[in-house]
Amino acid sequence: MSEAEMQETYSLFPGCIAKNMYPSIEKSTYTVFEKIGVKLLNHRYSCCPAPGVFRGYDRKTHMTLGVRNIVMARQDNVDVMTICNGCYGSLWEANEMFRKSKENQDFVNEKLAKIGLSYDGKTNVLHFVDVLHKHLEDVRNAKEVDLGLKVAVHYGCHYLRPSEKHPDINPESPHVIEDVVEALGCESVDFKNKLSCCGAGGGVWSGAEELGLRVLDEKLKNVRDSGADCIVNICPFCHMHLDQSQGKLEERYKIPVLHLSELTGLAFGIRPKHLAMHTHLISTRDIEKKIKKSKKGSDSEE
Amino acid sequence: MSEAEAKKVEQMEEDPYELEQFHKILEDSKILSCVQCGKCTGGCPAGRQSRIRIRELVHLAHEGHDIKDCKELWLCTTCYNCQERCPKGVDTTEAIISLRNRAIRKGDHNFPEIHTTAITSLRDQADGFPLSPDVESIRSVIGLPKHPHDLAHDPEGLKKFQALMDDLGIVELVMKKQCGEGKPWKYVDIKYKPSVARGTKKEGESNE
Amino acid sequence: MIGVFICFCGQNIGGYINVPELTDYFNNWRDDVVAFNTTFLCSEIGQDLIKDKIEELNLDAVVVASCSPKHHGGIFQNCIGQKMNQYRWEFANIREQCAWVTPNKKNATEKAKAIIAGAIEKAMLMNDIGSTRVPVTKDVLIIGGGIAGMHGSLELTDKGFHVHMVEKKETIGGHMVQFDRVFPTDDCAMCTSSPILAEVAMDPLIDIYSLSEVIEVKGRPGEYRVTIRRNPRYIDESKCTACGDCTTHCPVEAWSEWHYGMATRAATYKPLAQAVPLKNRIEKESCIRCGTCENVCKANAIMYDQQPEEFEITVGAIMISTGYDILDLSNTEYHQEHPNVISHLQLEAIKVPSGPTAGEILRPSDGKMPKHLVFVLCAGSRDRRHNVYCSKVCCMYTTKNARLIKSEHPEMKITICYIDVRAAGRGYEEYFDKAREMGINYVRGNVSEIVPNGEDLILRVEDTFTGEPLEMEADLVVLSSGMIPSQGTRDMSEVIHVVSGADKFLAPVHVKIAPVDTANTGVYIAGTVEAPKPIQECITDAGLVASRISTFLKDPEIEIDLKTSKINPEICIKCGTCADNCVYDAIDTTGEDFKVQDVSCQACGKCSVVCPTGAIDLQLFTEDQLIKQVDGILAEDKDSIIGFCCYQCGYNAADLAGTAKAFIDPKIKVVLVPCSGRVTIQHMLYPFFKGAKGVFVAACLEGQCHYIDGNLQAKEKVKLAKKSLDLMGIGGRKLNLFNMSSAEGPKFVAASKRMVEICQ
Repeated sequence: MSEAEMQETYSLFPGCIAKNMYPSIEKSTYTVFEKIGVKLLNHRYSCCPAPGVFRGYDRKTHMTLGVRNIVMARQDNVDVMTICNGCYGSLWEANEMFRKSKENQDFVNEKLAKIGLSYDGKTNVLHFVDVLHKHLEDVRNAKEVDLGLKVAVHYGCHYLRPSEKHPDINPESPHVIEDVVEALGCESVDFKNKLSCCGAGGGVWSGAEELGLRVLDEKLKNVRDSGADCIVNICPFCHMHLDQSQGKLEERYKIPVLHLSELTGLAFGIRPKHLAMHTHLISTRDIEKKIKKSKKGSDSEE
Repeated sequence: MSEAEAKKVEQMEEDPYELEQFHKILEDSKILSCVQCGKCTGGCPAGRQSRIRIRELVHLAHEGHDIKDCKELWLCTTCYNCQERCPKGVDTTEAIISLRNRAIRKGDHNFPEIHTTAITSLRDQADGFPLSPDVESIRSVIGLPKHPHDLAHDPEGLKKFQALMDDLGIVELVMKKQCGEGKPWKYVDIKYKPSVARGTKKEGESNE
Repeated sequence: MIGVFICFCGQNIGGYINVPELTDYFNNWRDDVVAFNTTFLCSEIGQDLIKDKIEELNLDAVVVASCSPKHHGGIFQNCIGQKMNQYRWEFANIREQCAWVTPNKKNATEKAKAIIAGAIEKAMLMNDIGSTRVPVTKDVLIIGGGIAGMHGSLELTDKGFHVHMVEKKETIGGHMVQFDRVFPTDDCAMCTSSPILAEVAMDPLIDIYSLSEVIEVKGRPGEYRVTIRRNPRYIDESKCTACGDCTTHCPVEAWSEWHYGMATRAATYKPLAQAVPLKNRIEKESCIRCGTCENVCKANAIMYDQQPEEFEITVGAIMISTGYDILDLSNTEYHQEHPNVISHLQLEAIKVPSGPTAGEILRPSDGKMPKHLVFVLCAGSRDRRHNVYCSKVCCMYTTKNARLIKSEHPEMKITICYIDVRAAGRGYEEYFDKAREMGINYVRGNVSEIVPNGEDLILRVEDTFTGEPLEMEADLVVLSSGMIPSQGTRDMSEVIHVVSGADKFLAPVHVKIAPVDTANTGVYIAGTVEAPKPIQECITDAGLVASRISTFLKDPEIEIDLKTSKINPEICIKCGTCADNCVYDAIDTTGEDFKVQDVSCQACGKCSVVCPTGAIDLQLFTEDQLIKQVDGILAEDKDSIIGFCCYQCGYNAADLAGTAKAFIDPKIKVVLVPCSGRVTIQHMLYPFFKGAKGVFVAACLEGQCHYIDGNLQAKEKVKLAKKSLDLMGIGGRKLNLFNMSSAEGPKFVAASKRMVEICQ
């Protein structure tokens, strides 16, 4: 086996929102994983498809389209790594449904055969935060700035639940993102109802906007009370709702929202400009300033 | 048995989304184990802000009511809190998804109009959120390829994907019909009263 | 000569089976067999017929073809025992397992022929089974000194028995002495229990071993040899006067385990003023070895270098009353890690007058009196993620605490969230009525989550009456945490091999009619070691155990039937395999010849399965008897599928299939075995050589074998035998093991169906 083949490699599943709306998330993901020595491949992926809306239409269709995506990675014999809870939930669920039932396997493979594909259930679907967590030591080594931010961690539902995904994580008291942000020199602040939903999932973001906003309002209120500098999430869909929908609320919270890969990228020394942080609707300027300060502090110490 | 009746029976046996057959699907979500303790509704983030009541929906489904045109079905954010915590192991969120599936299948639903654009977007561009020209240029500026290496930018692959979607018949299914209360809803007063009154059991005739 | 007695059982058998034809058939079957029939064999006329014929024809053995032996087995054994050895008979179950499951009368009659033929062949080999008398020790071991243990010990010493009481903690008393008051009388728990404590302490017939554990039990019923480990107190019990000087001067302040972290203690302490034995104790983990106590102790009792000691006692019977513990609900949706979310035991620790706040309800985080106190029922109970069972007492003790606090602080808002209130018991509903009348707010809804909000809490719960989700602000939350078996209880299933259920509570032989007996003779259970229950039921249990023990030990010797295993010393090579495989330590390997200790042997037969020479055999189910029974069945119907069913579960399930009048293919023929672990590979293969279509073993559910691991051993044997069948070209798939409980008739029906499908 060549050295390149021995390198830890995943197929990156960017998901619609990261690539089409927040390229900063996609960009920082490439940079971060390169720096911790993990190789990412690209494949021709469609939408995962989104769990709330499309799974609500028809489970079997959702599973078939999800498996089609997984097949892309299967062909190169690598596991899929998602950077979005929605994609993670979708692909994981599709994979499980496929693995658990012969009937489903026959259904999917019959459909896939017509476009020249087939699947054997052997690919795993991973979430990038688990990969980062596994490489915590590499993350510490690659870090150039101790960010010194107080962050409010937002898990998002489909990473934690259904908890069958992670038998070793307590869905009522997880400690994964916290470990990563702490490694980046941030303080994870505790706040009321920390594990609650952002309010976007299940088709509510588009279909029942007002409800989504009310749930969001509840969440942001609690974050503000915690005194956090920003929200850190691991899901571009939550990210979008937290960032874009803030402006639609009566209350002007103006809490910056960062995807964990962006935060990690900043800690790895990528300049905010190179991440197109200005695509965020809520300005991240204050955070950038704070980071600069932390950087200067650590520079002068040296 | 009249011919029409015979046909109806035949249809019922075939279509698992017919009410009586459908209950077998719901039973897979273990709704028969429900003791109506209310743990699901108590911690529902959507329920705090709207009329969705998971316990009530499970109860109605359990009792055999036909709740396919119920708007509340579309207010669940699928956060899985209820399913995770259910003391009796009812897969409540999965039950909601099954109910949505049936609503779509029967074309007798009450789902937000905007959801139909999602399905066409998925078929046309293989993405729920397609790329906009603005983002194209931002991608270039920060050193990403202007067009992502995805299915949307692979004409051959896209064609096959569309063939797969057509084979699954999903677009047709979703666009088929939206009746329910008569109109699709664009923007919903989420605090409305429950749209299902008790005692509508076995109403289940589709409007087709 | 064998006498076959066939019962019509009115129409129960006669309606489905041609009994006259059957009788004729066996009268002409072989010269050494005679057959008779009668309407009701179990009636006096029927019994007289059997007795008369035994005498008249000088029968060697009897076959009773009637209902299940589980039904009237005792009657026939008694009846036959009046004329000859009571074990010289065999039954043929032609009612539950033939008449009621075979709709076609011709098929049923044919099946009955095969069943009876098998029984005759087995009966031919029946031997006299004698009995013996063995001495018993009048001492009793009580493990666990809670309310059940204390009550049991006093009952037993009243009857003249000498009691050894082993208690893990530094004092006896158990949970009850930690409580403030008890429902439904609101008596002070300490006032009612301290006289009992004192009586136990002063009783000359009770030896108390505190800070001690039972680590090994050997021997037999009537003479158990028990090894006890006494953990160091680091204080000489014989010298300590419990003056408390050491405690006063100890510089250490550690959380008190006795108060569940609601109070502090010194490193040397006694948990309560009424402790028995009334001695101080040094807790090693928190002790800093400063030597202060040594200096101040006038009695010179401090012993830093005390070591654990082990010693052995001999007792005739054992009572286990090791009690319960509660769930820790930290890091769940109940967030017990929050200082102001406490368990009900922690609330009791605060509420007792001798507690840290002298009985005042002050919350742990800041010592303030709560304005809104919320009780959460079913926290971890009736919940598949924690305890599937109901903890039974929470509704009542929660109501009790709410009432007591409300009456002291009428201004305090008190809410109880519940799924449903279970108030079944003398005076319970009335007690609950009063609570509501006092203004305690009952909200029907299972609390979904407790959200920490600074020092306060928010409870999210649906009011299921109105269907509205509520957000309740509270400043102190008390969880009615689910009860679980204590560590000591779980240890006992290992140390004494008492069967436990899926919930890990120790299981009685029969939950309804033998509620304190275990499958181990001479070992009894009392109190919450068996299931969550209120104090009065613990006391009832303890009284019953005392009665059961005094019955068991009433004579200097006990008589036991020797239907046990027996070793033939001429072929025994003394390899000890049987002893290794015996969980009851019933095989004495110390003498010149290996011997089965008849009192310890539970007659499961697992020993005979592993014996390499066939020297040890189970007398009621010998190797030859089982083979001959199979021969008998297959000689009549070689297309049979032989099902070895264990007495505890599989056989009962087969009977239940009959009671439910389910259909079972007549090919299926049941052979009774005491335990699936009795079935050898030879038994599994032999029927195939004689033409059988298939073989199966119906065993208890995994983890529920009445002989600990018989079904697991059977599983291994089936695996091996399947391989052999594959090699022989017969096909391993024709041999299967099915696990089922004694209540699962439908499972037996499904298993039979499956076998018939496979063995076409």
